[in-house]
Amino acid sequence: MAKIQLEHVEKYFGDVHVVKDLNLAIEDGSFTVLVGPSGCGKTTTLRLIAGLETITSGRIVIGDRDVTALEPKDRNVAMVFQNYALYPHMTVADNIAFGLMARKTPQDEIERRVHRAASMLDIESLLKRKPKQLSGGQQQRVAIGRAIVRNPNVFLFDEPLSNLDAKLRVEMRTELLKLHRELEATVVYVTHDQEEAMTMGDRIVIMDGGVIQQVGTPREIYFHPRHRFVAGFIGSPAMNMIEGRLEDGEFISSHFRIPLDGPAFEGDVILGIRPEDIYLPGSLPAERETPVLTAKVEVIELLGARAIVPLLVNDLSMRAVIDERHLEQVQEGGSMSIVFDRNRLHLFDAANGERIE
Amino acid sequence: MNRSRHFRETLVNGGLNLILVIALIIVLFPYFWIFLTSLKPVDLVARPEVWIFSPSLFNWRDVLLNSDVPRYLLNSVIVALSTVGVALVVAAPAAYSFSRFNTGGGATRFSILAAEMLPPAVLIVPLFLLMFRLALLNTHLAIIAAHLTFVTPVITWFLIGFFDEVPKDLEEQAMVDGYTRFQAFYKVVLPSVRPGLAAAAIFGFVLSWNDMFYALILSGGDSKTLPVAIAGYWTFRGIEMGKMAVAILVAIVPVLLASFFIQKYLVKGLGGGAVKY
Repeated sequence: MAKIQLEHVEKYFGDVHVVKDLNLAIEDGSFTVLVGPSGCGKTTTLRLIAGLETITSGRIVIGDRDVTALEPKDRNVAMVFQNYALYPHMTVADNIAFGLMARKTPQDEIERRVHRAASMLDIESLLKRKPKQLSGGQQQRVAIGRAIVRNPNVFLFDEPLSNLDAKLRVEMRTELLKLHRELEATVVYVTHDQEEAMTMGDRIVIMDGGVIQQVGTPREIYFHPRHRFVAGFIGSPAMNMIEGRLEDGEFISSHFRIPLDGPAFEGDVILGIRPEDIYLPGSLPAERETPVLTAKVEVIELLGARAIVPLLVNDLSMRAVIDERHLEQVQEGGSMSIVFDRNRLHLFDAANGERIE
Repeated sequence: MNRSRHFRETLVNGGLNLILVIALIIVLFPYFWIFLTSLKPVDLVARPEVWIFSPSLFNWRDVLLNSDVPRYLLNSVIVALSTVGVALVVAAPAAYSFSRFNTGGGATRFSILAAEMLPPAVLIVPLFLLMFRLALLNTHLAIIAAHLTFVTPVITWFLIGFFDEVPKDLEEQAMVDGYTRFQAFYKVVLPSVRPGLAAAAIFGFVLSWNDMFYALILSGGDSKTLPVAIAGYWTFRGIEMGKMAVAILVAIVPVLLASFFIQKYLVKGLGGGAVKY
């Protein structure tokens, strides 16, 4: 097991600057998720760590070894690809053993380790099959087995669950986390799915345009997004963003005003309110409620225990998440009173998107 | 209603089968005719309208036991196998490189087929002079070299499509697993395109096997290949139709056998899309 350090890493593909001065320390034994929209450089970063792409400049250290100039085979990392990349002409057992054979591991040792990995993943009965004869979920397990059997320093996962159906995906998430705990391994996990990032990572790295926007625990990222991009990217349904300006401690938009205490900032800002921080008046302690606003209810999208309610507040479209128990007070096409949770308001500088404390 | 539908289906099926039968007859009739000719006694060989006769094995005995045809057959086998062997060793990495790295750009990829577009007559003069200078005329090597000039580009081109279909992940996985790029190519990529390699091999084999032009000019005497020998039955005293028929049938057999043994790969290979996951 090992920590990973990326220092001033730059990557160009021709003229395209894909990764820009990336600095990141990934702790030993952590489960770090790289997340961002497609084209943000997350997969490239993972491939740089694996050595499948050479870095344009900078340094990558795994454990105490500078691996910048090393071939993938010499970095002692294991990678699980999105499409599993199982060798079609080999049996499951040979697929799992392939990496050990490269390292000239003795045959009995290979067999022992393959069986151990297979039993951890519950695929012992499949060892003699060819990849074609497996379901997507089983192929996924084989790909993971191939990674763990080698006992590598670092596990790299490139969107490993995105080809599975929703139910299996949720199951595999739990299983991967259990596996991570069992192996005490350093894991770097790439996904574009913010929910996957939130549920799996003990640290989340949010990237956009080749730059790290924020690194933090899921809680930090969710409650204290440092940038407008992070705020909008994490959370579903997405945070409501309202353009306006701050004057004398008051947020003023063309739709409503909210007196705030705290920020000394003056100028154009964006006010962010998560849909789940919108309430009916009276559900919060009085000091946390903002002044009551009247909103027109467009439709009600019931999810079960909660409902997503698209609203119009003086012609401003917003979304609220309302507890099912309060829904009787709300009618499609009718109007409702809403308040925001003062403690959960996010302010961003309209000029550069940075958070205003 | 059900009955009329049933009738229509029967009609359609019958029609399709009829087309197949006609196609088969068109393809197989010449073989059948050659086979008949090979069995005709000498006095009937030049009379195609005679269908009923008492078959004689005279031609077969004469060609297989008393002529040099077996040796020319061996020559053809040596030349074709060597050509295919060398061509595959060169073409597979070349095709991989075109496919994976777009080596030399699109223009290079296309220009390898240039030799294919020239009439063979253009190439034969320099090849002849070259072989003459190297004192390789009338050797297997000369014919193999000549055949490589058209077999290698064709099967390189042919294989590019197969390598295109191997996901890049596969070799990257092998590289992360501890193999060099070349090992990844050899152990993972090549086995994944086996159907393509088999089809390419047959394809190249047939190209080399059927060539008469280069072989006729570059070889002679002992190094003659079978097509040249077959043409040799066209003598000053006329065509020795019966013996030629036997030699033709002998020439067909190896290709037929090879195709039969790898037809599983061949169908997959020629159909493309050989490696699916």
